[in-house]
Amino acid sequence: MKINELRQLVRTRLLPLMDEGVNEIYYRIADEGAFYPHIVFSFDKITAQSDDIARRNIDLRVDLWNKGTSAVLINDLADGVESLLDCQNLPQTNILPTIYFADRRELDDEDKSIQHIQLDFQIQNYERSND
Amino acid sequence: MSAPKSTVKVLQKNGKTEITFEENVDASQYYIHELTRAALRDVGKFVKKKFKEEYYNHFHKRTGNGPKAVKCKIWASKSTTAPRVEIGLPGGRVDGFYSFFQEFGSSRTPRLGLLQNIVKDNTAEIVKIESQYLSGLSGEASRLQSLIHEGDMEVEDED
Repeated sequence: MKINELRQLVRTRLLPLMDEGVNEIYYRIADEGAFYPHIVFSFDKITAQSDDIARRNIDLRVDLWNKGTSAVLINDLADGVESLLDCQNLPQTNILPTIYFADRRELDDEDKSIQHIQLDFQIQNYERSND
Repeated sequence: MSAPKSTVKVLQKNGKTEITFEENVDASQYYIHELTRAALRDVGKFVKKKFKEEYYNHFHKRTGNGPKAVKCKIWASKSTTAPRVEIGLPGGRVDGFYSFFQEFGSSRTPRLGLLQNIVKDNTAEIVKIESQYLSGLSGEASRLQSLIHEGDMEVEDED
C-alpha cells in the first residue's frame, strides 16, 4: 500500500512532462514498442535509517529515453524531472515523503540512435501512524 | 616515503572473496596521506575482486573479460589535498564493455547494478579495511559491524 501510493505520487508528479513531449510514463518496465520519448521510473532499494527507526530511505531511479540525434529535448526533460522532484515535501494520506536529488548521468546505449539519461533521487519516507 | 605495504590480502577461493588481515601497520612511520592512499588501494582491490565474484554468480564464464571493465584509480598526487579513489565502469572501448550496459541498463540489456550494490552492501567491510591503516576509523568499523549484528538478532527473536 505504501509503495503503491508512492508510485502514484511520483507518476502524478511527472505528469506535467506529458505536455512537454513525453509519450508515456512507465513503472519499472516500458511496454514493448513504446514510443519515444518516454520515462521509466523504479524504486531501487528500501533501507532503514540507523538513527531513526520510523524512517525509510527509498532510492528512486528515473530513466529518460529518446530516439534521435538532437540532445535538446532529452536534456530539457531531465531538467524538468529534476525541478519537479528535487527538494519536494509531499505529504499524502498514509505517507510523508521528502524527495532529494542525488545523481544524474548521461549514458551510452548499444543502439547509437537512442539517448538515455538516468537520474537518481532519494526519498526519505515516514508512514503516518493511525494512533 | 612511499605508501606502506599492503597488509590486507584479498583472495578468491572457490569463487568466494576472502579477506585476511596480516599484521598491523606501523602508522607512526608514515604520513596520513600515504596511509590513506594505501587504504584506498586495498579498498579498490577488494571491490574489484568482489565484483568478479558477483559477476560470475550471474553469468557463465566465457571470455573472462566482463569483470575487467571495472577500473580503479587512486588520486593521490602532491597536489591532491585528500586522496580519493574512483572505481567504476568507464564504458567505451574497453575489455568487457558490455559490463557497462549490464550495470546501468540499456535499450536491450536489463540493468543489474552489481557494482553499486556491492559498495552499498559492503560498507562495513570497506571501513574495516580502511581501519587497518587509519586507526581513527577502527571504532567506526566496529560500530557498523555491531549494527549489522543487532539487526540479525532482531530477526532471530521474531522467529
